[in-house]
Amino acid sequence: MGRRSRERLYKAIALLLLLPGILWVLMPTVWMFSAAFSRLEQIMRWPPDLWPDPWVFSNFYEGFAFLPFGRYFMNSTQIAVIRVMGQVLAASMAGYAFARMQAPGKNLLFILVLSTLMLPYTVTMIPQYIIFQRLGWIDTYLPLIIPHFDGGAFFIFLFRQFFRSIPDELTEAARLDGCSYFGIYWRMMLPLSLPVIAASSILIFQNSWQELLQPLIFLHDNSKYTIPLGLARFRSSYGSSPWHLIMAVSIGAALPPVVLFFIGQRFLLSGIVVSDK
Amino acid sequence: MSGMAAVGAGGVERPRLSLRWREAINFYLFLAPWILGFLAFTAIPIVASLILGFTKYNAISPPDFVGLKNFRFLYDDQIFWKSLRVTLTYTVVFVPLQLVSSLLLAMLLNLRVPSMRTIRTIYYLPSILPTVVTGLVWIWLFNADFGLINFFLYKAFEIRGPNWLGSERWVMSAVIISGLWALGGGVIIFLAALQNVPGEFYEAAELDGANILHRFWHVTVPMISPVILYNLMIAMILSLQVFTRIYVLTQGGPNYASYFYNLYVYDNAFSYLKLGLASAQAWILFVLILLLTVLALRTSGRWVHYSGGV
Repeated sequence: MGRRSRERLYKAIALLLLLPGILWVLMPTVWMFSAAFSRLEQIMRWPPDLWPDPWVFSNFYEGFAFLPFGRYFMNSTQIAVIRVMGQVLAASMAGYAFARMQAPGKNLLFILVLSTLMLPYTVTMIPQYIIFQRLGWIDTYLPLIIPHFDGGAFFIFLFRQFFRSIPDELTEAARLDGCSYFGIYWRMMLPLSLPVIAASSILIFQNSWQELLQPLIFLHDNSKYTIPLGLARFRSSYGSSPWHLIMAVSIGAALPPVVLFFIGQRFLLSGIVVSDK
Repeated sequence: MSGMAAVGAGGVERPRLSLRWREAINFYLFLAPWILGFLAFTAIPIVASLILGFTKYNAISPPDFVGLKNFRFLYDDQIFWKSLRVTLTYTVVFVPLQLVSSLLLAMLLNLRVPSMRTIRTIYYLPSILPTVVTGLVWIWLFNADFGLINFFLYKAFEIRGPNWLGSERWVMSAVIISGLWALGGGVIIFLAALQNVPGEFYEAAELDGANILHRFWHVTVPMISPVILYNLMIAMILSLQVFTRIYVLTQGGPNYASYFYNLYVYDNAFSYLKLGLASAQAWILFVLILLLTVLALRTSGRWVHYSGGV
């Protein structure tokens, strides 16, 4: 068999493996959509019938009115947007420092940054709770935002990898012209790092949008809930739940990260540089 | 920033020596957000948590030093061992499955085939959806009477499927299946690594007569081995800390069969207000993770190659 035809055979096998997998991957989403447009009786039917009959569009209206999900939606948006801005800024600054500057203690600090990846959140959770309680931050969004303004090890690493791949000559010239470190960072590095900024914004937004444990601990007032907290409480407080409404709200809850993903998708792969040049 | 260094050096002309100082000062200024955040929300809490682990503390009256009592209590606590067993069982089964399927999927998604972009997007979709949302959907898919899983089992094999989430025997399988559905981040990192393997390596291997398996073992795996190590460690660390999916899917039930470690930590801390006990528990997990990570790093010398470097 020639090389060309062998290549083609591999690709055909790959497609044969990938296509049935698509059914598996899409199944939960299909069910979610089906349930969101169905009446409750139809969901509890054997055999399952995924085609809504009749189509019920009012589930969305009812779902969002059932608990103040509209408000939760705004709360989650507010937290995620502020967190993304602060965290991207901090991570890019730290990544720039690690990639392009020399200083005593740098290697030790970098190991320290990476080692925080191993730290379970539950270890810091309780003292953080005590600190935030003393500061009067319980039932505010500050505990969900401010601790992330350290940048986060994974994102610092992403930015560092990217900045290291930018040729030295580019910045050397600017440095000789007397451009400050901040000037180089702000006017040269940040504009170049658009793919990393996009990739990390998407990932941070997702992290923030789906976070459950922290809102669970720090938010007690109903009106302050985030979308995941609202959904989780919704499930636990209503024994036989109105699943059609839950699914309608779930679609709404899934929309922002999905839309953001489609907008920034092309950067996601190019923004993650894992090899070192 | 540069002004500060110039003043420090005491003149309009910048002496040569101050260049290194300027760089170091700038380094620490750029790193200031991380350092401050690390001190306030990580370093100090780690120490505080260690100290709290030796106290009885309910968040209202001041902490009471009790020595090793928390650890002795946990040693005798059946539920503690149960939660540890649940978590370790899950990790031992789930992590290898996840790692292998992520790598295989990434390799398939790396082929140049028409419409691959769309296929990639579809496969990544589960990881974009919020965990709480997918958890809610899976509750219903696993439903014994109306769920799609049991419907397919019946249609395909005429099997009457189990009551997945309501049975002590099956709940762990359900948790693992739903976890494998969202492979997500690991796949992307593998994919990025695969795209960085120079094509010439494969061509050279092919000229030497290497078949597809040879190329996988002798080119792909060594070239991306640092990324395999990274994904392995992250998968391990995360699966020991599973919380959200379980909180939604089973809340630890039935009869503690899916009572993961962090669920118990959370309950002790915020449902029963035993903050000292919960701190001790959290620290035990931390030490366990440290040991496993060191073990992974120690043994990695044999199979991880840094020729490409990460």
